[in-house]
Amino acid sequence: MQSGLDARMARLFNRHGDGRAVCVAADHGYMSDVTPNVVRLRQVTEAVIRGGADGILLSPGQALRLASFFRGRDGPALIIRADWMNVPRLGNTNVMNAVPQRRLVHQKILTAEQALALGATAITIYLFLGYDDDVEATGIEVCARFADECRRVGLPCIMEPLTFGSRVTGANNVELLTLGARMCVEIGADALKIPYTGDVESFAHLCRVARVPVLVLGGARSDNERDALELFAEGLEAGCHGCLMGRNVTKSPNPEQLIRQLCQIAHAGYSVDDALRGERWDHVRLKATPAKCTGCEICMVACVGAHDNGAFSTHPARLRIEPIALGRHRVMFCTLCNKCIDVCPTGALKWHDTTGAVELIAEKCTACDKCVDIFPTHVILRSDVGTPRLPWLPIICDLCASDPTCAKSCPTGAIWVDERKVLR
Amino acid sequence: MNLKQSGYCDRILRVDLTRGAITTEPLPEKAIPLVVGGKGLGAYLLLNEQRPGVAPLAPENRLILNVGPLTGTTAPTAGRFGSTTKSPATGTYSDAYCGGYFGQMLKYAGYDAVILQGAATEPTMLVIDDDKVELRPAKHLWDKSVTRATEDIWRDLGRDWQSLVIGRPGEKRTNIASIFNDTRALARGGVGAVMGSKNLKAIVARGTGRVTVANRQRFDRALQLANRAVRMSSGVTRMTREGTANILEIVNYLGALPTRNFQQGQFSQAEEITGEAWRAKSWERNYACFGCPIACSKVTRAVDGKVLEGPEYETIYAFGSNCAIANHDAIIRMSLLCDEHGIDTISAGAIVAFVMELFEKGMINAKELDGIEPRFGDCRAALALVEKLAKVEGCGEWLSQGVAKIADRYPGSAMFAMHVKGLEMPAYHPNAAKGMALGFAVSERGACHLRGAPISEVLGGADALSENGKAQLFREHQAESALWNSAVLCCFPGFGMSLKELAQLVSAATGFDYATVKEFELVGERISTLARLFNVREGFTRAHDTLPARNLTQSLSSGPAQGQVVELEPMLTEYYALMGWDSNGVPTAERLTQLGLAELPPIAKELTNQHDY
Repeated sequence: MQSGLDARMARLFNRHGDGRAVCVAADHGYMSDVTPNVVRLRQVTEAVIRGGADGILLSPGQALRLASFFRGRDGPALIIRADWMNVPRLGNTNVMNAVPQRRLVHQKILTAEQALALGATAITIYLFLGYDDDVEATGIEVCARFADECRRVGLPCIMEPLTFGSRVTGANNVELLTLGARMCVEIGADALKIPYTGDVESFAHLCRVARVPVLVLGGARSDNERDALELFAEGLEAGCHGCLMGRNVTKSPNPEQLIRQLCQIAHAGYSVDDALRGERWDHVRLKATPAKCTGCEICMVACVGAHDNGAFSTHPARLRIEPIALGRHRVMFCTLCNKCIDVCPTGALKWHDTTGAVELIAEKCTACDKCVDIFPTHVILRSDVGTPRLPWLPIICDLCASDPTCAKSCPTGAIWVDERKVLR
Repeated sequence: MNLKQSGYCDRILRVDLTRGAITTEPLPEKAIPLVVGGKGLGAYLLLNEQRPGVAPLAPENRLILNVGPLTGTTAPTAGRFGSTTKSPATGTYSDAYCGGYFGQMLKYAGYDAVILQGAATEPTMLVIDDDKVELRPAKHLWDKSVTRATEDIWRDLGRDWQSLVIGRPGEKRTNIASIFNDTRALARGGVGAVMGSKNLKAIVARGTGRVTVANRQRFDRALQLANRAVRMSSGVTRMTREGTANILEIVNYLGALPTRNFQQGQFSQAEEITGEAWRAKSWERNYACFGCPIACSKVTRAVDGKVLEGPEYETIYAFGSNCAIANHDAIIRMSLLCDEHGIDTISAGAIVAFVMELFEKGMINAKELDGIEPRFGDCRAALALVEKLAKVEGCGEWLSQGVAKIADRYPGSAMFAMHVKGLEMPAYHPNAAKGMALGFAVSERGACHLRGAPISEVLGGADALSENGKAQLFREHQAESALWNSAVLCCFPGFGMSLKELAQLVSAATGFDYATVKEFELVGERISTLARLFNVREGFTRAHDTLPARNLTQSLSSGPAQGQVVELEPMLTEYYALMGWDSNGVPTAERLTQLGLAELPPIAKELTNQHDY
C-alpha cells in the first residue's frame, strides 16, 4: 500500500516541510519503573504538544486513552510501540525493588492492523543485537515478518536496533549499531530509531549506511539540559532526520520548554546556544550551595585549564574547595565584595567594564601583598611567574567573560551562576 | 616526541632507601606508547627491573607508584593512582589502585612514577615537594594508626599536602596490610607490608606544577563527549544514589551473593543491607574522590559518632553476608577498624568468615582465638576478631597471614579456604557467576573482581550460570580493565562512557593515534600479558589458575544457582587459546611478537633465554 505508506511517512516527517520530526518517546510505562512522568502521562503529553512535538510514541493502552490528542490535522503523529522487552528489569539499571529477571526477553504484542485501528501513523519495534545468538535470530524473524505485515496496510515500520549485553563493548558497539541499522533496512524498516554513536563522524557513517530516515534517541536523562540539545544538534549535523527522545524529555522539569528548544534546533535553524539563551544575562555572579559540594575539585582544575597556557593544575586556581569534615566542604570564590579594590594603594584593581569582575591594571601594581593578604583562603593568589619589573602579579577571578568555567564544570550544581542585577 | 607536552612529566623518581639516594630519570621512551602509563608502566618497569625469585619482603622488591597521562587533567576521576609490586600474600605480580587525593598531587609535583627500592634502617618518610625530594626520620609517626599519622602529617606540614601512610599492620608486615591516602587505600595483596618492610611509614607530596596535553582542542571535545555519556547513564546515576552497594540486591537475587563463607549464594537478610536500605537508614551524604563527577562514596556514622567513608559493596559482603551479619552499626565499626589501622576489608572479612566456619565445624577452638567464639551472625565475635586483625594483636598476628596460610594449619579446610593464589575472594559467588569464576582463577594478582572478571554478567548482561562465551567475555573485559588502570581512571565512568571515549581522551592527551578502538583494546591485552609474563617467570603455571574445591566440586544446595559447580577447565582452555597462549597458559613467542612486546628491550631477550618456545 505505497500511497498509504507515503502519506503516513509525510505526516510524521514532513509536518514542517523539512523532512524532520521531533518526537517524544512516552512508552516507558510498560517496561520501566513507575516514575512521575509515567504516572502523569496526560500532563506530560499536553506539555510536549504545546512545545510543538511532531510525534509521540505511546504504548497501545495509552494510545487508546490519549486518542483525543491525536485528532485534528495539526496534531502530532501517533507512534505506537508494537513490542515489549524486559531490559529495565534485567540487572538494576532502571527499576528498583521490582523482581529482577534473568534473561532478555522480547515479545511482539500488537499486529499492524491493531495499530492502524488505534490510529497509529507509525509503529516501532526493537531489534536486539549482541546479547546472544538466539535473541538475535528470533528478533530478525519477528522484525522481518512484522515489516511485511506493516507494508501490507501501509503503516511505516520504525525499527529500533539496540545493542545490549556483556558482549557489547566500547570496541564493537558502534560497528554493531551500524550493522544493526543496515540489517533493519534490509528486512524492511521504513525508518530507524537508534542511539547516538557518540560522535558526528561515526553517526554520519551510520546514517549514510542506513539510507532511510534516522531518528536519534537520547538515552538516560542527564541533569544538564544542554546535553540532550547538543546530542540532537550533533545528530542533525551527521544527517539524521529527527529525534525520538524519551527520558530526557519526559523526566525534564520543563518538558514543554525542552521540546520547544529541540524544535527550534530542528525546524528553525537555531544553534544550541540560541535555543538555550531564551533569557540572556548581561552580568553574572557566582553562587554556591555548599551542601551539594562533594569535594571533587573539578572546578579548580577546570579553572586553571581555562586560563594562562591551558595546562591543568589546582595550585593557581582562582577558587578554592576546603575540607571541613568528611564530605563537608567550604566553597570559596570571588564574591565581588570590593575589598581588594578598596585596599589597593595604587588603584591597580578596578571593575571590568563588561563582565563586572575585578580587573588588574598590571602597570600600576607594586606587588605589595595587600590584596592577597585580605583573603586567608587564597582566593586571590600570587602568580608563579612575574614580570621584568615585579616578582609576581595577583591572580583574581575574571568570571571567564561572564561564562564561568567552574560553574559549567561542577557536576552537582554546588557552584552555579546567578544574574547580577546591580553593577558598581 | 616531547612527552612533557603530551600528558606526561617525563620523570620517574627513584628512591633507594638502603643508600638514601634520590634520583630522577626520564620515562622509557620506546615503551611508553606501547604501555601508556599507570598499570602498563608499572608492569613494564617491574618486569624490566626485577629479577625472578625476589622475596616480596626483601629490600630488593620494588614498590612502584604510578600515575598516567590523564592524571591531573579534567578527565573524570583524574586523581586515581596505582601501585605495582610483588605481593607477599601471593608471590605474584600485584597491582592496586586508589581514588582519594594523592595521584594528582604526585603528577603536579612532576612525577609519572616513583620507584621505591631497598630498605631504610630506621622509620622513614619520603617528602616530595615539587622538585625538592628528601627522606626524613619518621620515628614520631611509627606505631601510629593510619588516622593519627594522617592527622599529624596535616598538622605538621599543612592541609595542602597529601599523604600515603601505613598503620601497624604494614609495620608488622602482615599479608592484609594496606597503604592509605586518608580514607582511601591501595588495599590488597599486602602492599602495605612491602612498604613496611622498607621501614617507610609515609610518603607525603605537594605539587604546584601543571599538566599539558598534546591537543587541547581535541581533548576538550573528547571530554565533552565522555562527560555527556557519563551524565546520560542510569548505571552512573545509581552509583551516585546508592554507592557501590547498589548492586547487592540484584547479585543476591541471582544467587551470587557469597553467604556464610560461600556456603550459600543468597543471604536471608539481604534486604537489610541493600543500597536502598543503607540509603534509608545510614548514609549521611556523598563524598567524591579528586576529579570525580559521580561521588559514589557515602559517609556513614557509627553509633559512637565516629564517621566512616563507606561501607562499600565489598565490605558489606565481607563483614555482612559472608559472616551472616546484617547489623549496620557492626559493619560500619568493622570497616572503621580497617580504615583506622590500615588493612584490606575484603581479606579481613574473608578471614573472619573462614574462622567462623572452622569454629562451627569444631576444627578450631576458642583458646586458639584468645577466647573468642566466632559463629556466623555473631556481631560481637566478628568485631573482636577484626580488632585483633587490625591491631595485629594476639591471634590477629597469625590470622593476618590470610586464609591460605590459616588453611595450612587445619588439614581438610583447604576445600573451603576461599582464595586463589593466596588472595581472598571478593563478593561474587563463582558457582552462580561463571565469568567471574574464570576471572578469579586467572587474574594476575589472585582472586580479584577488578582485573576483567565480567561483573556485567550479574547485572543483566549475560546468563551468569552458563560457561558459554565467558572466555571471550573475560578477555575483552580484561583488556578494557587494563586500560582504565593505565590511563589512570576509575572504571565507574565506564558505566556511561566506553573504551571509544577513553581512547579519544588518551589519544588527545598523548598524541598517540589509535586508528580503531580495537587497536586501543590490543594495548590493554598487551599490558595484561606483561603482568602474566611476570608470573610465568616466577613459576606460576596453569595449575595455579584454579579455584577452591567448594567451587569446583561442591554444588550450591539452594537458591537460583542450586546444583551449580564451576566447569573451569574448558573455560580456561578456551581463554588460553583466545589469548594466543600455550596450553599451560604461557604467552607464545608468536603472540608476543603480534603484541609488539618482542620489540620492548630487554624483555624479549630475557624471555627467549628463559623459555623454549
